Amino acid sequence: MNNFSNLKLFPLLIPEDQTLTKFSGFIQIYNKSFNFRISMKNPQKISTAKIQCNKELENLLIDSKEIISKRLKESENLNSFLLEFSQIIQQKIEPVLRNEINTSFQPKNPIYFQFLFDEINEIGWEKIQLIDENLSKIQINLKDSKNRTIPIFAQIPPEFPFAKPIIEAPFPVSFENDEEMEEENQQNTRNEKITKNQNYKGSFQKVINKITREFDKYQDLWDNLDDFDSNTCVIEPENPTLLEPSRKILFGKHCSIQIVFNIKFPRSVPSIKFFGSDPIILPLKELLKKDINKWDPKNLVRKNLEEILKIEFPKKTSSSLNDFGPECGICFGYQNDGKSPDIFCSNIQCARPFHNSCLYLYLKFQSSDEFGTIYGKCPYCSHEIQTTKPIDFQEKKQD
Amino acid sequence: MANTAKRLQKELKEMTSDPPANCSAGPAGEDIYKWVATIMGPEGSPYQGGVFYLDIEFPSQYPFKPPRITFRTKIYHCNINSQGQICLDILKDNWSPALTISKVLLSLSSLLTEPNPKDPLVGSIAQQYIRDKSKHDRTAAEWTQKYAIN
Repeated sequence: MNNFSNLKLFPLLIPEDQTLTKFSGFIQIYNKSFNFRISMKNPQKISTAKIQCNKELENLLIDSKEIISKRLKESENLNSFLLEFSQIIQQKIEPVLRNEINTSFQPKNPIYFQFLFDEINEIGWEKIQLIDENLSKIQINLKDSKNRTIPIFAQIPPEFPFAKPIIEAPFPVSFENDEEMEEENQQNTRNEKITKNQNYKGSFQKVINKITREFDKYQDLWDNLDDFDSNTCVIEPENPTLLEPSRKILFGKHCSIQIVFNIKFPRSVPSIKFFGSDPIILPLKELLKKDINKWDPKNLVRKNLEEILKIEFPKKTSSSLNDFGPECGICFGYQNDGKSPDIFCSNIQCARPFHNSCLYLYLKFQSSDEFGTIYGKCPYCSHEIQTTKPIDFQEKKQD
Repeated sequence: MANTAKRLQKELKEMTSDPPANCSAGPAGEDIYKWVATIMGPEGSPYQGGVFYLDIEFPSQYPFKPPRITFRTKIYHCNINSQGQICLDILKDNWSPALTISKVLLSLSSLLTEPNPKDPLVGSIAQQYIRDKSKHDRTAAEWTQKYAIN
């Protein structure tokens, strides 16, 4: 049987050569065409075939691999396999297509817009930062009593105003349902029953007032975070916001200190972790242990730390980042697979940071490891340095 | 090897924001692993006034393995042969990931000022450099005039 003559249903699939063992081209399902290639060792033996396809098709078939290889074994020839194959794709693509239609166009009740418009009028248009094209997601930037920005995200369901909008304040703590919020909920249940002509009391403004009040409760935390952001060299989070209650700041030679604030008592002793070359950070750890009783909860965290550790945290300048930056001395990056450099040269003059995985790879080129630990020399100062095999090393080598 | 590309991008950024004296370098085309570089002949050396073009190829194991660098402009130098290959320890056994392309170019620039006849790639030029430096310098300057100017 000739593989080729039977492929009338797949006009976009072309044989690559005369052996008729390799075909490539497109397979068309509904209005979508997928780039696709099939190659066999023997044109009579479809079970030996290998399939390559584009990313979109691959994602679609990600959990159908088993059934496809089963069909390959069962099929008599290429044509019958392709028919089965397109069926599988068809089944997979139908829900996707349905979804696409769903999200792209959704007629809304006219009162949706009327109520939304009223809500926004009440909040004030100047506070609206962003509205998506479906008018279903809104970013509102609020200001607290110290003129700090609080970003709020509102997700408006298509059934609005009969369904409640979901308002998210990305806060470090969730705020409990108190009486006012309860009332809010009740009001919304009532709203579901009322007809569109009855007057609807805006629900946004209440939630917003509530969020602003909640936000104001953490003024002390915001003060401390602001103090760090403007007076030290923050390296983590990359784009610090008030919503992340931790700061990792750079000081001295490639060293950094991570501070995780106590949200309820921001001026109390935070959780502190040092990163850096041992000869630099060990004395600091000692100092902190010895003088922790000198911590004065009336002062800002930074001031307390500076007094106890007897250092002054440098401000963010390009030179402090270039010369004593926190980046890995091998890949020159800070984050590598979500990890920051965790090994430091113990030569106090050098103190260079490295990612464990980068240093391990480097040392592996020089020597072999003994019982999981590998010894070598710092690429910067030739001082002895050692590391252990990263846990996920094998996996990483494969990709 | 995504990390190699990332590191190269960092080096490129530094190369453009803080370029080393008398050198330049950057990707030849879309491939971040293939760069071209230029070194201006250092003042006071017989290469003065010349512009020397180099090809740089980064191996996929960079920075664990050194970049491969060749002179594309002909040069009369005991550590650089007629194919443009360079004999420089940091490009071979003494390579370290602590080095960057910017530092390598500076080393090459100082190799032009101070050749190393004790570890030559072209023996005859090294001999001449030791025995008759002025004649060496004259030939080097002639080659510079001929191949590296305009």
